[in-house]
Amino acid sequence: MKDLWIRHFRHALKDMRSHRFLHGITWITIVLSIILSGTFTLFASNAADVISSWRAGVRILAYLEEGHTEQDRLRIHNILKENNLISDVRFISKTEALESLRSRMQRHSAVFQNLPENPLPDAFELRVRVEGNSWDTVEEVALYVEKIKNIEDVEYGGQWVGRFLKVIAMLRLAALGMGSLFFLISVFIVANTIRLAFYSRKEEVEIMRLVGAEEGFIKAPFYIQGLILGFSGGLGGMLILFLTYITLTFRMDATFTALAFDFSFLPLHTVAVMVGVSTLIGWMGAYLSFRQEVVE
Amino acid sequence: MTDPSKNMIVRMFDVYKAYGKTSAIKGVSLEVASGDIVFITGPSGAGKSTLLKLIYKAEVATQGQIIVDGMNLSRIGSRQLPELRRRLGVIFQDFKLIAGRSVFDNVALVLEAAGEKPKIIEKKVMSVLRTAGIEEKARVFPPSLSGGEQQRVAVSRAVVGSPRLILADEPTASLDPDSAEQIMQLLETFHARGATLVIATHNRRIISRLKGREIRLERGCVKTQEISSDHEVEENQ
Repeated sequence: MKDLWIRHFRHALKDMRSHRFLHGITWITIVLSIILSGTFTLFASNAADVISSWRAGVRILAYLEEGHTEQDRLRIHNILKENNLISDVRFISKTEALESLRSRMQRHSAVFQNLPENPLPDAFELRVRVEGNSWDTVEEVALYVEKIKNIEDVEYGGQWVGRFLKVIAMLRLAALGMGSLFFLISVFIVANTIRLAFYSRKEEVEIMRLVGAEEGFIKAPFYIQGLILGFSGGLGGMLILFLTYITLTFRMDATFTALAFDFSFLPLHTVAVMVGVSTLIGWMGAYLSFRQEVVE
Repeated sequence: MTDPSKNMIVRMFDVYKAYGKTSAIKGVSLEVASGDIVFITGPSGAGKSTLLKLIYKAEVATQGQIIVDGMNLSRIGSRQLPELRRRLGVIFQDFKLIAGRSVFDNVALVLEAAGEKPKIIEKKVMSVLRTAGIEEKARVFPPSLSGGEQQRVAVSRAVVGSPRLILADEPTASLDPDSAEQIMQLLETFHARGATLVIATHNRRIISRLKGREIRLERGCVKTQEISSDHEVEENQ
């Protein structure tokens, strides 16, 4: 059985070599489809991470006025703790804030060296529970906190958060739409490639049928070709996407750091699913090419 | 007349084959016993090749029943067709060898299709190539062989699976007398090992050389059935 599959594999590779241009074009199509679908998925995945971190509790920063006392700080802390919409309250001193900023912007450490004094204010970091996609709660809490005595300013996502959600929803839809479109295009291109390879061996196939070869025996090398195209195309696409990601994130590292945003690559299981889908494209292409043969 | 005590490997009952309005085979009934040599003769267009194609089901009878090695061809579907074909060995006039595969691979194809192990395939293929006298050509590709050598490869492929029935469609038609003689010797060898031969041919030398029964077709009908002594035993129409 193992020898039979080795034989099929050998014939599949031989066929791919003799139709290398056709298979090459098909492979590139699959790679491009995976890169494009993967790019959309990458953005959608990172956006989903941001959303889920927000769901865990939207962060509001409440800056304290200069010259407030320890008692003021305790009073504000208690007021905030009593609010049911606020899940967590943490005081961040101006020293701690500066240290945190320094560690995030290590590459620009020179900026901090000549500071005459710490320009950052003391602050409270609040976490607000968010239900569904409603950001009204966040705004409500922000307005409430802003009115507390000795609070100078409140910083939170505000209006852009809502817009961001809409963009993410569109991004997800685009990922799904593009993914489906490229899936279909790739399946049809693989189907045509396999069909052409099959027709180029029509005489050989006919002889094999005459000597009693089963259809599975005849078609196995063509299915293997589809699987090889799909699997290697998926791996190639993911590899190119990863290398592009590494290059771009390396260059834009400072920007992401400044945005306090961790733009990560697709999780391993998503990569596996995409390579799996790509392999499925290859198999379905081969299947479709033989279905067409039956219909004819 | 065939011996009724023998097992019949091919039986045809009132078989017709038509292509559109043209009838290629008209009401043919015949029997081939196991171990026989049967020649299908007749002028071009008499239906010899069609008759063989009906036996290995490359063509389907328009009417009538064909039973080959116990399989009723009108009742077997595409799934059973490979099994029927593996029970037969077919030799074609135009050899039908795969140009892109070596002599060894062409012959091995039958055994690979039957799921044989590589060691057994190697042993059987080399043995049959040795018998055919083309052992040293095992790694050569068919286009570089002479017509006679290619036909010997085709005969080797037909017999490598030890079929009970060998069908040969004009096996010597495109060969010179020496090559034709070698093919005849080869067929004789495999017949001696127990195979039944059904040969469609114009070649009177083959018919007189191999003792067998001759079934003469004319315009799709069985005209006469004779044994090799030229004694006419039956007239169909």
